[in-house]
Amino acid sequence: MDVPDVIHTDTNKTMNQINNISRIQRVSRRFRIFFAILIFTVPMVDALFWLFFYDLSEAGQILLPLGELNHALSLHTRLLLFLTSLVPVGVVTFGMLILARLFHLYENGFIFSAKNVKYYRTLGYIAIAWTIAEFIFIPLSTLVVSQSSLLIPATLAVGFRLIDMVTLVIGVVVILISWVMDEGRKLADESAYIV
Amino acid sequence: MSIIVTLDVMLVQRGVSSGELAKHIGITEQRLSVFKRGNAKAMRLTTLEVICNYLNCQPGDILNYQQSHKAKDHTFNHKFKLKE
Repeated sequence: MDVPDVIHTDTNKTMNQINNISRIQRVSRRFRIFFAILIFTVPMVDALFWLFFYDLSEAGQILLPLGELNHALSLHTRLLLFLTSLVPVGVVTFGMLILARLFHLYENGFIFSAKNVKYYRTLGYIAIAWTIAEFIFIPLSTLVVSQSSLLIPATLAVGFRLIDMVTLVIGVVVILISWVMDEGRKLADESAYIV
Repeated sequence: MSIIVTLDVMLVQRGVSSGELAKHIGITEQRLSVFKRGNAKAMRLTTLEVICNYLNCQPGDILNYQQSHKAKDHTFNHKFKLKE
């Protein structure tokens, strides 16, 4: 029996869609695992960084705007610096959690749901929160170092870098895109009930 | 909803299956089922045209309007009678 071409085309189209979805699910699973691992490793690496951070000679000058310094930091200071660093690290970790959840949705075949849009919006807010957290971290950390060392005069540094500005703009753009996406999702939901 | 879908009756009368009609319209059987159950929010005139053409019927044969008590209070006749 002859099968019409239209049915052949429809079947191929459906098969391609199924293949694409399963490919998205496969890749999403890997990314979900990757971000789930990062949720634990990012704070751990941060803790290790401050634990083995003995002086402010090299890395410190990049991280903290304290000028040319070369002296050992006490364990107490490093612990305080670790606690201070938890402000931006906490934001980043929360971002990893949201990304893991987003990829979990893709893994389960939810590509364009209300939850997806909610996570996109949250990622936008996280980008803004990260900028604010970085802005808080720099003066707090310089204060901790200068207060706990007699070698450094009392310092309170405030910094706003180009990367912070870029992140802030990206955050606002992501929120705007998620808003447009939400409207699109509502239209898609409506069209499901149009015959 | 006040719009009653009687497509099922017409399908039985014409001896056409839902799957056959859905394929002819170019929609999935699930979407046609949404319409048959009266859960659809809107209907395209082009879809109505295809259905009427395929089943050789009028729009009134597959869609009926049944006035509810609530809707009755807002009708033109009701307001006219009250004024009188």
